[in-house]
Amino acid sequence: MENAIYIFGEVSSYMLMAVFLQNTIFSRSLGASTGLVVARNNYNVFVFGGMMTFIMLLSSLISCAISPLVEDAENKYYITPFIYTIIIAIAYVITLFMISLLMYKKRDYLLKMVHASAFNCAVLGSLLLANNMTDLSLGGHLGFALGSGIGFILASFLTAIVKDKLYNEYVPISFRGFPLSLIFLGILSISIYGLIGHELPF
Amino acid sequence: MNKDSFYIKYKELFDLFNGIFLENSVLVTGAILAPVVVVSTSYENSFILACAFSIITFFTVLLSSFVPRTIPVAIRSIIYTLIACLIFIPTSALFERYYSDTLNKLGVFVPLLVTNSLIVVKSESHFHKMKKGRMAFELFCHMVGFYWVIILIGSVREIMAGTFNGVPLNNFVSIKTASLPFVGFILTGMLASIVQLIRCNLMLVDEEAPTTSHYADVISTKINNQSDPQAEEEDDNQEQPNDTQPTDDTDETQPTE
Repeated sequence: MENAIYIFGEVSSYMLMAVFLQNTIFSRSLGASTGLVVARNNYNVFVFGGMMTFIMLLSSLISCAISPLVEDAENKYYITPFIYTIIIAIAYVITLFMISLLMYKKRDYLLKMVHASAFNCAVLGSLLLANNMTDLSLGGHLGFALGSGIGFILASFLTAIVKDKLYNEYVPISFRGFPLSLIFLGILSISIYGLIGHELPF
Repeated sequence: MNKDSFYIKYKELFDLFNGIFLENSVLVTGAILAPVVVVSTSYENSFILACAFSIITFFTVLLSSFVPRTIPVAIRSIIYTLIACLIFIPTSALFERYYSDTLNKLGVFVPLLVTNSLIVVKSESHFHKMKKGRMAFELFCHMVGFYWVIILIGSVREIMAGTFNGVPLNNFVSIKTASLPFVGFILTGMLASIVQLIRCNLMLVDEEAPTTSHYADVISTKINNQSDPQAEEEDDNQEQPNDTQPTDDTDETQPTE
């Protein structure tokens, strides 16, 4: 029982850290372009983000098992992206099979999104960041992956709900759409920066 | 719409150099944002990122064009990323030798270049549909486009922080937050708005939503309409929509499974 509570606490704390302190989009801009594509193409943010979170969780589960094997490798920095890409590829193929077998009715709709949700900076970035944290246990790996996915959904959702405003005809043509989306993300980023307790040094 | 407009007249030529400015992969398509927004905080950082990006992307897209089209798209995408990972090894070893400290400062952002959108998405949907020579030239233009943007943003942020190329600038008010991501977002957004304004004026498109995929449709529709004055007249009589957001579900970034 104590063990379960400890693991739950570990997962929760790493998850909260990844959602707010190290949000993939607001603090590192990882997957920002993917988030904008999701908003621009009217994809369902929650379905896309859910799929990405699933791939992140699956990848982090595999990487947690494999990490100790490459931990002391001499050329760890050079081979890590290759190993993690193979891990993501495995998670991607499993996801493809699961969609084909379990969700036959929505198969085409989901397959359209699965590629972009697997191979992007947010997924590989969360694995690389977790790898850089020393002595991260299974709970930490899972919590960080879950938090990265939820953080991506949060940021994409905040962008998607104001899409109509960002593309509104009253916005000057030079700012309409993509430029304003970036400025909007910048403003959200500064507000999250303040929300988590930072103070601006001026 | 003036059919003798400069852009329409020289559209073929503009298409060739699109990657540098009109279809810039950072400021117009937003394909590669993370390194520009987060770690382009100095001239040196930007220079290393630009060089690493150029080497990895150029050789990956070039080599991946030899992957047989008979292999399913899902597998091809994995192969492209793996090729990028293999090219990453000598590239990072090269920079490790000469810029070891800066490479450490860049953290995960250099390895992350292996999954940039030009490799994962655009190579399949755009580059591999061309002849090799044209593909190499367009790739080179995209490299140049990325290079000028990241160097400009990195230099501006470094000057804002009160130094340039490591040399302190006197008589400059230093803004310590210049290295934070929100400054990167806002600066990139400002630069993107300037590029968008130039695009709109050049292409003479002023009422449609300014999205990349949409522009191609707008331009081709207008060119077609020129040959059919009646259609253009009817088009003018149509009521303008209130909301100008793109209604099509064009997804230039998604290869179909």
